[in-house]
Formats: sequence, structure tokens, C-alpha cells
Amino acid sequence: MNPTSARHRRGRHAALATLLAAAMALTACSTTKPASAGAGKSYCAGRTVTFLAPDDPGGNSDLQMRVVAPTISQILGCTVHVTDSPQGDTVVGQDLVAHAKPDGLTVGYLQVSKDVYNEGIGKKTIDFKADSVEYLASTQGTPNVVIAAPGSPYKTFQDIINSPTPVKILSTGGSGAMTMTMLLAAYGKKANLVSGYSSSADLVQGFLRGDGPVTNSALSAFSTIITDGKARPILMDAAPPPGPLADRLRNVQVYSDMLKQNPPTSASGNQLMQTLVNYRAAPSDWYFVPAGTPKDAVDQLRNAFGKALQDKGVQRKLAALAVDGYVPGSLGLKYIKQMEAIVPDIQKYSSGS
Amino acid sequence: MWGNLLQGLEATVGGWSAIVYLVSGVLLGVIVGVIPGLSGVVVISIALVFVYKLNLQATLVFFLGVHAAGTYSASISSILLNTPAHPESVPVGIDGYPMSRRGEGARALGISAASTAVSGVVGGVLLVIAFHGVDTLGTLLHPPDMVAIIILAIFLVATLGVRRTSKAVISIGLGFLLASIGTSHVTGQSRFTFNSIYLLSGVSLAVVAIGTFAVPQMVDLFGVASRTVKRRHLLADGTSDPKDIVSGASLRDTLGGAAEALRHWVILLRGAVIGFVGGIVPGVGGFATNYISYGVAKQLDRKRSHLYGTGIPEGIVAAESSSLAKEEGSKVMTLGLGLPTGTASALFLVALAIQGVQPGIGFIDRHPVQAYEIVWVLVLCTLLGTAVGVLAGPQLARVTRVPGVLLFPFVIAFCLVGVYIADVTYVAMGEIIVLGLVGIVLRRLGYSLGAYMMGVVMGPTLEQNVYLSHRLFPGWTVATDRPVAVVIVAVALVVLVLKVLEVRRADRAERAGNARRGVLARGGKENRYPVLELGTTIVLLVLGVGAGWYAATHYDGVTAGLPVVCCLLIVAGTLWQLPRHVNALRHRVEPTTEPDPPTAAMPVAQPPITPLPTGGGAATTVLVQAEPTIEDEETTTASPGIVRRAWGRHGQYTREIAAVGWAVGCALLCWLVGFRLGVGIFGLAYGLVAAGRALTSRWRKVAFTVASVVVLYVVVSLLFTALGLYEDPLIFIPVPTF
Repeated sequence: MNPTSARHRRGRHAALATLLAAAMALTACSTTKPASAGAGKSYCAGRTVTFLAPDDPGGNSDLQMRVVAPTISQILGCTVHVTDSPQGDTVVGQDLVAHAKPDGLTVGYLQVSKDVYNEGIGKKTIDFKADSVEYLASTQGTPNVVIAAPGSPYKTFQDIINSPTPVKILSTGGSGAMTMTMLLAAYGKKANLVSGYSSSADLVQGFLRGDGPVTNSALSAFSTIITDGKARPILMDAAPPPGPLADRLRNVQVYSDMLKQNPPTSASGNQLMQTLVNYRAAPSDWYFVPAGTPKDAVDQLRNAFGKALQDKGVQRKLAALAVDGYVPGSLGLKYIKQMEAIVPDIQKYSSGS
Repeated sequence: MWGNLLQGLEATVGGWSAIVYLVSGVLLGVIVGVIPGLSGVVVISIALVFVYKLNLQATLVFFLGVHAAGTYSASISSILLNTPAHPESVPVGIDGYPMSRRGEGARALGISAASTAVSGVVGGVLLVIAFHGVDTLGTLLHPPDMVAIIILAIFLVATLGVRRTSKAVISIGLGFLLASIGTSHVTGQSRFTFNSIYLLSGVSLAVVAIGTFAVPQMVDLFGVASRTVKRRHLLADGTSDPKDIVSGASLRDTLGGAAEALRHWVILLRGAVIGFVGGIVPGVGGFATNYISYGVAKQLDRKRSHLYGTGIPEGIVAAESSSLAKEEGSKVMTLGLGLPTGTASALFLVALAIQGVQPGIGFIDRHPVQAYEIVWVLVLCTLLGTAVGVLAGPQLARVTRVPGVLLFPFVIAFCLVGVYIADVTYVAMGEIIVLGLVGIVLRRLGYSLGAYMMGVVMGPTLEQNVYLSHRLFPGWTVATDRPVAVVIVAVALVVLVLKVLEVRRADRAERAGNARRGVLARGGKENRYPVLELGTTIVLLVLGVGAGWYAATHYDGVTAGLPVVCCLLIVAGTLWQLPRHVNALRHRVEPTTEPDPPTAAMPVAQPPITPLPTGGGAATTVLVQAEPTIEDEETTTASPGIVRRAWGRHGQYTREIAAVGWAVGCALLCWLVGFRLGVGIFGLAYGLVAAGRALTSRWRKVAFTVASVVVLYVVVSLLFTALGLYEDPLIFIPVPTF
């Protein structure tokens, strides 16, 4: 037998087999339909709702969305899938949803504190207006806490204010550094910030090795060192959430207490402190849909988020991510406006950080 | 401790469900991790989706299984195709790919697998030891120490495989310049974003790694219309053995490679320790630790130092021995202090938090069984992943028999899909093509791609630590307070000086050789492209001056620090080499038949005859014929197609333009009609137009076209559905999905 012709025949057989397999695969492919769940009066019955997280996979908004998505899916009776668009420091993902088709099928996640801060320091971001979207619901994130080294002389925030020389304060920069700058500015003090730490983990490491006596960040970053007695909490922006640390943090001063007990001497300082109280008390992370979404869809989504975020199982999982609380979407505009009021103050003090 | 260790083992493999999750995690990690762009964090985030539905034990086993196996499998594509799945797997390709090109892919995979296994086991032992001193470990290194370590690491990498110190300096500067794009981690100010919101978060590392290493490699693949590996044995007596090395690749070759790795036990142990320590330090990352391990091995191996990069086992062992140990080192901080040292550690922390477990100080005392279970899981997953790699090695090695032109559409499509998945933006595809063009030029001209990548990876960490050092240790107090840092910087300077002396010696020898041959031009092989060399140098000079001036005039002192310093490096390097390139152009000698440099990740000189250690102690001595370059293959292949009437010597420019054209076409199609349809149309067009270079039979061409359309469509569709990915093409055309 001619080996060349045999090889060609084998080649033809292989080609035919591949074509057959391809045809079968395409047939299978064309008959496969996307899964649809639920039916009835749901606005999205038979369709898919996309939750678009403006973070990396595994980021804060991505995880929160993945926790609530299955429950929302059950309540609405339609498929919910979570996807990410992490570019541009969260603004790209927010922008995509803000300008998506307003049909209730695309739900976004807005990190208002970051946007407000960026606006304050004049950073060019997206053309995003706070009242141009429909707010669905919010979760209350972990509070911000100021801690001091146990061996340091700072037992309250007043001790830092009364210090004759500026106290070295460690920070990751951004809104945390800005908060510290403004807190001290309200009392006529200048901050001595060391704000080059890459993450809260890096910050904790710097604090533990003694880079500086005071720092501030989210409570979740400090919880283990507070529990272990390696850090002394001295000031919080809001009351502690329920949990193992609640007892330990019960007597720690919060911003509003400070404003009442040790008010700044100047009127501008008082105003600044009041703005900080409002800024830090407002929930900053919101679920939203584009403006113009039909009212029925917005109502159903608000209802679904309300039920999901008050579900015990969902709350337990969110608590593991240091997230708790539920704020209804109807309060969205009020809080957003409250936070935007701080922009001029951030502009004023941004050079200090 | 022993009781807890045994209980940890029992918890790990005590039931069938645990074993099933372990195996599932490992298989998922191996399969997904091999695709460029889909490794590391992306694989872990896929695992995270499942964590919500699992209990604690299953979470540990599954999550860590995916992670450990994904870390190993990323090396497979790097070794076989020189297309690293993520930055960490770049160093293993330096020696792995040349070995693969010699037809020793199975052996290289065996060496890699065994090195990873040992790395995992040694790292596990070190992790158990470290559990006892965890409270102090994290606070040992201060910012000045970090600065010194980074400088040493960059110098070590920059001096690897690069002929000219000036090119190493420019490569570092370019890497830093790329790293400075985006928001400054110190001041929060935007740099070089030019009002583009996409650039606010900087350039993605996955995009840089794939653009720099995978795209130039794809161009080379595109040029190979015959088998990527087509070698024959030369027996010691000079006669040739008709057996094709790759078709003869067997489990014995892989096992032989694995056994061979164990013979380099000093490099293995040293690499594992480097990896473990690197894992403890936040921000160092796998790329840096693997490269440091490789660099240290090369510097200390005086006798065979010159062979590193040519495909020797020591190179693979050095690069791979730190990989898994680094992951285990990161667990010290994650478990002991609750501090993640990277994104992967952060996701692991989240997975534990979802299960109601909060690592941190006292965790090892409170949950000793779980702490040791984590150690066991990491070790067992490493061994299991390695076993899969060893068993699949011979089959995987056969991929090198496939003509490069037929591999091209799959590699390019998966690279583009991979970076889209990592960043979820079409802009990433544009970035990959731009960075790919940069990578092609830098590689062809012999710049240090390792130093360039190192600059990108370590730039932000260096900037932060320089700033912190300045704030925490003002003035010269750093010299008295952190003497360790001073010593490390001194060692780094010695490394640099030694490199300069080495280059001068080589120059003198070359000048003497040229004088003997009557050749006036300096540089010899280096100046093969005098016009491109000079043009690139001028472009880099303009870039350095322009970017430096822009940064100095538009940003405050702290924000402008990194870009200004890197621009100074670029300007210094270009001014240093400019006279040499002008001179080379003036005394230009038209090349005759001299082949182009080999196309490995680093430009290296390959010896004419390379001894092939037979690993298993076989009786016959076998020599492998020297590796012809791709240009040689082009000129000898029956149907080179693209090369006829081509532009550039041996058609290399035509090939590059055509390959980049196909890549741009694929990206445009995906952007226009979405990935599912885009890759399908791309596969169809490519099969009909370009596959004919390797497939002469019409039926085979049709079969390949259909198969590539189906494979690309189905795989991409499955990936998008599994990840719940959102895409928003310009023209939405509904297509069936899975």
C-alpha cells in the first residue's frame, strides 16, 4: 500500500470525524438555552439581572453582591448573576451601570465616600451625579476607628489634640488620612501624617513594629490586635456593631460624643466637626439602578433588597465581611447630599495630607 | 504539636468528601491555571464562588487545592510555549522553554513538577516552625530593609541574560515608568492618566506579563509553519538517530526529570527558603521571589553560570523551588497576624471569614487543628498537583510537535480572553497589543525583559518604602538605625560593579576578535539591527526627557519622585549607549548569513552542541543538534508563504506585522461582536487564510478550521458563563450560550 495515500485517507477520516463532532457540538449548542428561574409577576421573569461590581473579583462590592445575589434571585424569581468591572478605581463599573439601559436588569454598586473624596481633591473621575440614579438599599460598613499604641501616652483623642508637638499618625492615605487631617484641623492642630502604607494590613504591620503611636482605619483591620491588647481604641466615627468586640468598644468615644463633650473652640471648627459627624455616619456603599428605570422594577428591587439584607443567613455572611445594617433606598438621596456637603471642606484641607 | 499535626492530617483526608474536594480543587486549578491570564487571583475568585456553599473543611481543602495546583500548572504553558499564564511563571520559562525547544519538554515538566513538590513540602515544614514565632516575624523588616531588598532583587534580575549594562538600566527605568501610571499610592494623585479613567488604577500586571512575554512569543509561533520542535538525535559517534525526541517522550522522561531535580537539592532548599521569606514580606510577590531565587542560583553557580538561560535543569529548579514555598510563607502573616500579603492571601482571608473563622494573633493557639490542616492541605495539594503534572507531562509535551502557526489562534484568543477576564474591559486588549509591540522590540534588541517586568511589579512597593523610609528615618539616621539595609545595598552595588566589569572584559575580547577579522563595528551580534537600535534609543531618550519634564512640572515633589527617577535612568542609559549605536550605524556591515538570536524569554547564546543528560542514567550518550532559529526554519520550510517577497531579512518584519495584524483583528472582532462570536469568526478566518501554511491537504485545512471554531467558541462560552461575565460589544448579536 502506498503510505502517502494511506496517510491521506487517514487524514480524510480524521477530517470527517472532526466535522461530525463539530456538527454535533453546534447542534447541542444551539439547543442549549439559558436557565430561567421563576415566573409570575416579577418584572424580570425569564430574564437575567446582572449585578455589576466595580471591584476586582473578591473585592468588597464583589463579595457583598455574591452574598445577597442568591436570596434576591429567589425573591424576584429570576436569574441573578454577578460580574466585575474593576477598572478606574471603581468609577468605570459605576459609570457602566449609571449609563446602562434603564430596564432594571443591571444593578450597580456605588462607593459614595470614595467619589466624594475624589471630587474633593479634584481628581478627574466620571461625570456622575449623585441624584441621577435610583437608590435601592445600602449596607452599613465597618466603622472607622483611631487606635493608639498601649505604651503611648494617648489614652483619648483629646491627648493627641493637647500634645505640644504634632503626633505622628500612620495612614494608608485617601479618605482615612483626610478624616484625620480634618479632625485635627477642627481643633486647630496640624497633622503629622505618614501616609505611605499600601494597605490596612501593611498599616497594621507598621503600627506593630512601632513606626508611629497612632493610626486609623476600618475596625475590621484592627479587630485582632484590639482583642489581643496590642492596640488601644480611642475614637470611632460611629457606634460599634454588635459582635465580639462590642463590649470592649462600648466606652470608646464616637465623633458625636466628642462634639458634645469637647466642642472645638472656633465656629468653623464646630462646623467642620459637624460635617465629619454627618459624613462618617452616612452609609457610603449603595446598590443602585440607572435613572429612568420603571417604578415597578425599582419597587420590586427595593423590596427584594430589603428582605435579603434583613435575612438572618445573609446578615451572618455579611457580618463575616465586617458589613452589617440595612438602610432603605428611599433614604439614599438624603445621605448622598449630606456627604456631598463635605466636598468644599475636603478641597480646603486636601493640601494638608 | 505532634497531636495537632496528626489531627490536622485526619481532618484533611479523614473522609471521602474531603478527598473529593481535594481532587476537584486540584483538577480545577491545573486545568484553569494553564490558560494565560486565568491564573492566580482569577482562579481563586472562581473557587470563592463555591466557598459560600461549602463547610469549613471543604472550603480549606477546595480553596487551597485550586490555589496550589494553579500555581504549579501556570508553569506548563511557560515551559512548553513560553507564554506565561501569569507573571510568577515567567522565570521558569527562561530555561524551561529552551529545553522544550530542544525536544525535552517532558523532562523539563518533570524537573518543574519535582521542584514544586519539594518547594511545597519544605515550605510546609517551615510554616510549622514559623507558627511558633509568628508574633515577631511580621515586624522584623522595616521600610529601609525593604528598599534595600528590592534594589538587590532588581540588580540581580537586571544583570541576568543582558549583554549591556545600559540596556539593563533602561529596562528598569521603563518598568518603573509603566508602574508609575495611575494613582500614586503615596499621595493619591493621578499620574500620566491624561484624564482617562481606565488608567486610574494603573496598568494591570497580567496585561503587562502577557504583552511582554506572550505576544512576542506568539509572533514567533506564527512564523513556524513546521513543527515547533523538529530535532533529531545525534549519537556520540556522530551518526544520527531517526527517532524524533518529542514523539519518544515518555513517562520515563518526565520521571527522569523529576529525579534529576532532586540531585540539585542545595538549589531546591535555598529556593524554598527564599520563597518562604519572600512570602512573609508584603508586596514582594511570586514574580520577584522566583526571579530572586533564579538570580541567586546563577550568581552562586560560578562553573555553570554562563549556561543559565540555555535550558539547563538548575535554572528550572531555581525558579520553581520558591513558587509554592512563597505561598506557604504568605500563610504565616495571613494566619498568624490576620494580615494578607497579597491579593491571593486577602481572598483566602475572606474565604475563612465567610466560614466564620477569623485568623489573627492567637489563631494558632485557638484553632491548632485547622492551622495544621492548612499545612497538610497545602502539602498534599502540591504533591497531587505534581503527580497530575508528571502523569500528563508526556502528553502535554506533545504540544511542541504542533506547528506554531496552528497553535497561534488558540494562544492569542486565550490571551485576549484572559486579560479581559482579569480586567473586564476591552481597553485591556488594546493595552496588550501596545505592550506586545514594545515587548517585541525590546526582546529583539536584547533589553532585559526581566528587569522591565521587575520594575513594573516592584515599582509601587519601592516608591512606598522609599517614602516611608524618608519619613520614619529622616536624614542619615537610616544608616545608623538600619545597618542591615546598608549592607544589602552594598551587596547590590557589588553585583552591579561585577556586571560592568564582565561587560568590559567581554568588550575587550570582542574588539580583539573583530580586529583579527578586520571588522570595524563594535558590538558584533548585538548590533544586528543598527537602524532599529538607534531609532529605539532616540525614541527612549525623547520619552525619558518628555515624561520626566512632564512629571516634574505637573506633579508635586512626592508624586513626581518615582517617574522623575525612572526617567533619569532611561535618559542616562540612552545617552550611555547612543554613541555606540551611532558608531555602529556609521560602520554598518551588511549581514550575510548570520542567523537571528534565539527567541527565548531572555536573549541567550546557545552552544552549538548541547549535551543531553539522560536523566535516568541511560547508557548511551545522546547529543542534540543545535537549535536552528525560526528564521532558519522559515528558509528551509517547504511552504513558508508569508516569507516570500517579504520585507526584512528572512521575512521577520513581514511575519511580525502579519502576526500582530491577526492579533489586532481578533481583538477588534471581540470588541465589535463580543467574545463568543468574535473568537469564532477569528478561528474561521484564520483557518481558511493562514492554516494553509502548515496544512497542505484541503480536508485537513477544513477540519482544522471547523475544530478551531468549535473549540474557541465552546471554551470561551463556557468560561464566560461559569464566571458570569458581563460584556458590552459595539454590535450585540444574540448567540447560543452554555
